[in-house]
Amino acid sequence: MKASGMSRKNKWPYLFIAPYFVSYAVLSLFPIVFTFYMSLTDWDLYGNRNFIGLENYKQLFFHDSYFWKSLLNVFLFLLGYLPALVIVGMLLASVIESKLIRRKTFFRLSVFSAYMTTPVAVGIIFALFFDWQGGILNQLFVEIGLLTEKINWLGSADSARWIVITMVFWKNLGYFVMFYTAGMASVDRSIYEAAIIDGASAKDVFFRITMPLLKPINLFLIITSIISGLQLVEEPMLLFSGWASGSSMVGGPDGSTFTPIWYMFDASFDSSAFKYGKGAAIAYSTFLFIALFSVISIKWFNKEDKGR
Amino acid sequence: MKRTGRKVGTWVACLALSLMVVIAGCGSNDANHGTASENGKNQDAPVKLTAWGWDKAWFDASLVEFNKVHPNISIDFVEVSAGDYLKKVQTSIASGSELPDILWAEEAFRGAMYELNVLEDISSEPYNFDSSKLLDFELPLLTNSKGELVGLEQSGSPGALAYKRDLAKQFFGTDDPQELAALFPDWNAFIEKGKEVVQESGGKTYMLGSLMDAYTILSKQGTTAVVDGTTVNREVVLELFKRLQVMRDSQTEGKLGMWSPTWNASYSQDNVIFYPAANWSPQFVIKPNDKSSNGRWGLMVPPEGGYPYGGTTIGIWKDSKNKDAAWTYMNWLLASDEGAEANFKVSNYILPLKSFFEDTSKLSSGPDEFFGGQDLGSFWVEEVFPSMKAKQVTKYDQDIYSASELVLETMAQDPNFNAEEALMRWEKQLKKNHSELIFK
Repeated sequence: MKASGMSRKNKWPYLFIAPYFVSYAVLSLFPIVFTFYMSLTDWDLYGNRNFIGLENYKQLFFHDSYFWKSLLNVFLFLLGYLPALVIVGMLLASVIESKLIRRKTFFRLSVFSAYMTTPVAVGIIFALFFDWQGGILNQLFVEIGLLTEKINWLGSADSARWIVITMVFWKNLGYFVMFYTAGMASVDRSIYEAAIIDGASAKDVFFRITMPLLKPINLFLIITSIISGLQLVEEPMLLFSGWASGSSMVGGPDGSTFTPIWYMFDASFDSSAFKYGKGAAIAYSTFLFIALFSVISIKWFNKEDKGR
Repeated sequence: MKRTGRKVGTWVACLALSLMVVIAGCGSNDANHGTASENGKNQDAPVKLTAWGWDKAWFDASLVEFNKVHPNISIDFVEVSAGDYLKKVQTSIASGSELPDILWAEEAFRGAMYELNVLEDISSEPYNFDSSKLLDFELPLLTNSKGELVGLEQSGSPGALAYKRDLAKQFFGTDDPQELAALFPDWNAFIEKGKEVVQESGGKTYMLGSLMDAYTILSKQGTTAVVDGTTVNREVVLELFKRLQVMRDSQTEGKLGMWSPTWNASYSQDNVIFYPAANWSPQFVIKPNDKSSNGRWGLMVPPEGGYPYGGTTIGIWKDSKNKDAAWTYMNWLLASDEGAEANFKVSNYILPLKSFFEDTSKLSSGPDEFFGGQDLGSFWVEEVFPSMKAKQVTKYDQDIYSASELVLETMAQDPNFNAEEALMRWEKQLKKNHSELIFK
């Protein structure tokens, strides 16, 4: 007969792993469930704590242009940097892994170093670089005569979005390259050699061998990028925190770099509204979108796979 | 059956034990406070208070003076930067943790702090502080929306205009503060003169560094609050933005971005003449930004009078177990002539107490070479304080400032962005987290 539950013999393993699960329940599971409960209340620090059902969600989905704008922004960012990261990352990894490059580790590390920079530093570096009056870029362009008047790069919605795209691209390129080089290094060399003997060009080898074999890596990178893209917050927030310009701009010019998580932080902690209920609803709604787009990406990849 | 019950019992015991271990780590220790509370009832028994704040130099120096009179009260000072202060307070409230006995609230967030219901009303029992002891303009800065007096000022924070004497002489023919004040009785005169300065300097010198410099003064002058309850006075804001638009159009400001590195650097350059300045500015802003100059600076009353600039409220946590001792500290240091003198002695801070202003001669700080021999103490007390007015602080102040920063950045860079558009965008920004606001 199969023993069920905890017997005298097997209770010790359960006891030893219990602290982890209890800590998880208290420090992770409980906050997750409690945050959902919070999202159904009008809890703020000014004394309100009433159960209001789905009112926060209704407000967000049907009456809150900032929420939709923040989602639109992160999708625009993703559209801007994700294809570029995949294409440039793969090409750069191919070059690093090719016979043209000898000191591969040096180049891998050089590209990866940007990824090791903390988001706070990245935000500040870009803020100092693109600042209107004191920014390095404007100073340089004026010095060499490319500009007669300084441009407020961070002051208009379009250029602000492009700067965020550039910033995320610059930071994550090394991460993509590392995955691609690891993937390429793991491909059996005999496949490439056989293809070359059969007369395949470098282009054919890249598109017909390298790319298909990197598909699992692409799937992983795209899905994790969508998740992290929807969670983007530190870089744009630091970019507009006033390090270089002196004035902070919540959400960037005309809300053009507002992200859902920034909005959550703003509604709950940063502004003087202290709307925890609304912040929790933003967090859960963002989670829904992350889950939705992750599922769509997986289905899309799997469908393509079956198609072949 | 019996065995299954025992198994379940073991599981429950394990879970309970683990939960206790985890939760015990999150709990607060009340034991010390209990002892302190009991001690607080005895006037001479030692009492230990806790305070959160950022100005440690002032705190330490003033505490030494306080302890000469009340040696039994010691205070643990926890340094919390002003930028993080409200977040620390709100997370403590949300998690049910204890707050310090003495709380500080800086200008930017004091309105929000007043509404969190964490500060004692010191005008009621058992404190019964007589608010008529304060200079009249102070009351709106220290009361919450219920009309409760929730704290006292660390120092009155009079706002004026700092100027570069050499540039003033070059463009206006005088560097005398009173003659300059007479030259600019209102902002229209200031703007008109600004046009001449830009023209004469070939666009190299501006009256002010940025629109936010102008906003800092203009938004604080007068007594009509932007928000009354939940009603926003659109007219007041529109008027303000119209004035700022005129300043932008007439090139009164140099688009430097207040508090930016270029703005800080301009203190030692010739591109800006005037800056908003409070009584803390010489020590914390002007001198550090223009270290090598001597006698180049002056202070004058701005067009249309003084204004409150900065300031910190100090109050008592309403659930403190040492309220008596906390009040003894506040009452001596911030509400008595003795404390006011100690305050002036250690930091040149001027308490806004009527009794302290009866003899202003003692508030003279003597000639300051950096300011061309100007007596700054007398300047603040005799020229700025009497012309000061203040608006009621509200919990929306911080967000109003952020929304204004955002729209003024656009206004500064886009010559077609007018006051009406600025108001619309400002309203939208404010409504984002305050849907309860009504704009009239």
